[in-house]
Amino acid sequence: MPPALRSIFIKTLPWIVALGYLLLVASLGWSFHKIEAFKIDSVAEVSTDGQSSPVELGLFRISKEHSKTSLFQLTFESTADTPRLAVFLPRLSSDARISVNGTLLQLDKVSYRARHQYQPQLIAIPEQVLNTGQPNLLNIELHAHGPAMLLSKFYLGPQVNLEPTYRYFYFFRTGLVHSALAITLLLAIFMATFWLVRPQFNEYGWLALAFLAFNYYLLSFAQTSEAVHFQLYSWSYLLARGVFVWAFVLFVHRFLQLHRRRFEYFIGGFFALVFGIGLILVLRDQYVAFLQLTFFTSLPMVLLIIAYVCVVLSYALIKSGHVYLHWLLVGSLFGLLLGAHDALVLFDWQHWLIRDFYISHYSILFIAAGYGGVLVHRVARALFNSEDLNVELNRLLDIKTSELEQAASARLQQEKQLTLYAERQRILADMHDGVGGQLVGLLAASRDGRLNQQTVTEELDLILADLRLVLDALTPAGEELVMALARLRERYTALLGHADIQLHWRIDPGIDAINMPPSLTINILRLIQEAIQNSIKHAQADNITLQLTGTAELYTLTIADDGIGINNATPGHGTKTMQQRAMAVNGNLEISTAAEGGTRITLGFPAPGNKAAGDTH
Amino acid sequence: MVFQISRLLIVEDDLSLQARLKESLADNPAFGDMRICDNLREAKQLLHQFRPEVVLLDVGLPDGNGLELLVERHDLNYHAKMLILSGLSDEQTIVKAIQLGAEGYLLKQDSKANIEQALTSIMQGIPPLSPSVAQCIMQHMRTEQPTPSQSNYPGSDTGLPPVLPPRQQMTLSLLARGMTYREIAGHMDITFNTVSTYAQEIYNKLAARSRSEAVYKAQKMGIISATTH
Repeated sequence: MPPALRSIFIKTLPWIVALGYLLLVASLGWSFHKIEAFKIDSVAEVSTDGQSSPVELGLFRISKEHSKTSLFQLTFESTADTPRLAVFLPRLSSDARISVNGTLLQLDKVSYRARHQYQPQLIAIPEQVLNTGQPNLLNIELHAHGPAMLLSKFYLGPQVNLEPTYRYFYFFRTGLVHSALAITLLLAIFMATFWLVRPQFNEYGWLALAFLAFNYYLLSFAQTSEAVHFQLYSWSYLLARGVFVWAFVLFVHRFLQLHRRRFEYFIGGFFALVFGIGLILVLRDQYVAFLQLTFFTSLPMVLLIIAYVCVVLSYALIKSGHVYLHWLLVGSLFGLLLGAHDALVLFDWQHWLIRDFYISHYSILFIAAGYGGVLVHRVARALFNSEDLNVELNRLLDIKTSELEQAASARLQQEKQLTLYAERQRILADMHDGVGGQLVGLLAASRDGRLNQQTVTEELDLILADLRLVLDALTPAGEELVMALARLRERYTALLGHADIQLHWRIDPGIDAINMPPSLTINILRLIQEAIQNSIKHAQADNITLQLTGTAELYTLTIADDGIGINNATPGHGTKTMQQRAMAVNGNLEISTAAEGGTRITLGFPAPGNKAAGDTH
Repeated sequence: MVFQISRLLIVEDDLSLQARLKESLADNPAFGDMRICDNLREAKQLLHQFRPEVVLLDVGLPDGNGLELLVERHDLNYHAKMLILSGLSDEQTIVKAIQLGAEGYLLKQDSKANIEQALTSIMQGIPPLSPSVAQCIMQHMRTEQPTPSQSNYPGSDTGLPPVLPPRQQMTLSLLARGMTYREIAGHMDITFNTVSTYAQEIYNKLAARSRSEAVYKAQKMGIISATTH
């Protein structure tokens, strides 16, 4: 359904439903009017001492006595073709006993409940019963227990005419009222729950109170309990009606965000006053005075307040046209309408105590549906909104997370770049000092004319070897020390073979990867290179052994030869640079003469990562 | 006179290196006839005419990539062993050379002794696998990305990086760590010949097996253009 159409539908729905409900109620009233009843000439009440006095039809009798019998004599015109007669009593205590012409009749429905119930009764009068007794005279005796015997208008007529109305009325009287009871209770629970969860939304609290109060008020229509103090009981449910309307106003104010505290206090104060006085009257057994008080003050006030609510809602609806307000306004108007009807029924001045057909309380079904529905809808919408919000938040979170990850990886890249750059600078500086220095030395010697071919060849060899060493360290596998040493061995094996020197390679195969930054690898390679150069040039060795052992934290590199050994008295410049290289890898260098002769160079260095090996620069 | 290598072809454009090689190898009694050229076109000609047993081949030639000769040799009716001699030591060139079937890869900066050693061992059927080359192969195998299989040569690369059996894998790693064939044999408790076989298998794992595969690979590497051959 397109959204525009949907919106119109939701807005008009309450009006349509209200109309339908109204028609239902109207049809009930209409059926009452359509009841054909015999014209009853007169009714006389026969008192206990046999005296009879005329009574108006529809007596409202309250008695404190435990049981009461009312005897009525009805005279009516009966014709020959009088159909099957029945008496229809809209409100009669279900344990009342009816005797017609002295014969006790079975009631339509027998209640097994201990409590009295005011139920519509349809009592069919058997023909035999009619034929006993005097013609055109009917003696109806009503005998009821309990604190009150209420006799509303009753109808005497053909059963076939009375039956539909009876059924109709029964549906209203019992079905609808009980449904209304259940709904208002449920909604009261809902609202109370919402309010407990979110106390700051106290409109829910007030609506819960309103529904609860009305629930209590409704009970008096559905069933009445055998209250010891009937008057107090009726005071209480009339008070409940007042509470309902007061809580209702508080709800509407908060729902529409109107601040009219003084008005609220006024209403509250008014009801408190009325029912305070009423309580005093009731306790002093002045029930009729109490009823008059509530009728003249409380009831008009209730209607006025509902009218006020309707006005407020109409105004809000005109201003905003919000779909909720349609529902609320229709419910309130409905209540007002039915309440006004009841007031008029009651206002039947002379018979103002007659309670015949009251429908205002049926409006609660509609009000409850509308108001409850509105609030439940609001909560549901908030719930789903929060779900959607959750989804949206999650989505944004994902986006943010990926952004952060990207930023983090970009920063990591940057750091890597910086590290690489620093590393390169170190190597370049190294080369500058090493190869650069050697070339400068060579150039100087050339200028001075101190060069001979052998020197040049030797120096150039050294320079080339150094360059290769640096290049080796820079290859991708240069970070792995053992790999770099492998290539060193490759280079030296042939070279040493030429010089008739055996190179013994003893690298512990169990040694795992030693990851060193290239600048440190260069230092170790250079150290070995110098050691080997020394062995070749000065020590006149036949065998050179290179050994690498160690644990995961500390490694030991040994370069030993079987030459003439080192003269500790004259530390050559080679040893000084070797010490420098050892320091660069955070290592410890020892140069000694072995027991069996020959030089032994031992370098102990920590695995990089154990100590900040690169920080020495 | 029994020569280890009767006919040797040297393809090298650096004149000084040419001279040095000629000088050192000429002394060696193991080598017989030796021809030298300095460009690719001439090398191809000599390949067909001179029919060398072993070729010392430089990669960087003035008129092309020396690796083309590795493809060219498939046109011969015998197998000419080729040893790549190059100043470049980057992984890419080494791996390409081996993939095209080179028998060995030597760096120019290796001393002459190494080169002679490699030449003789090639003739003896012992493939030279130096630590540098082994390290390059390991790096290549580690970083090779699976490529979508585009060729439909039987037995050719399925697009997956080559995987070595465990023994060869260990041999390769020990070679990368600088051990000699002998030392590996001692360490793994196998014979020298077995180690040599493993080395050959490592080479074969990467190498192209047929002419068409070699052409395909060379084209993929950009060594030869798609229009030639």
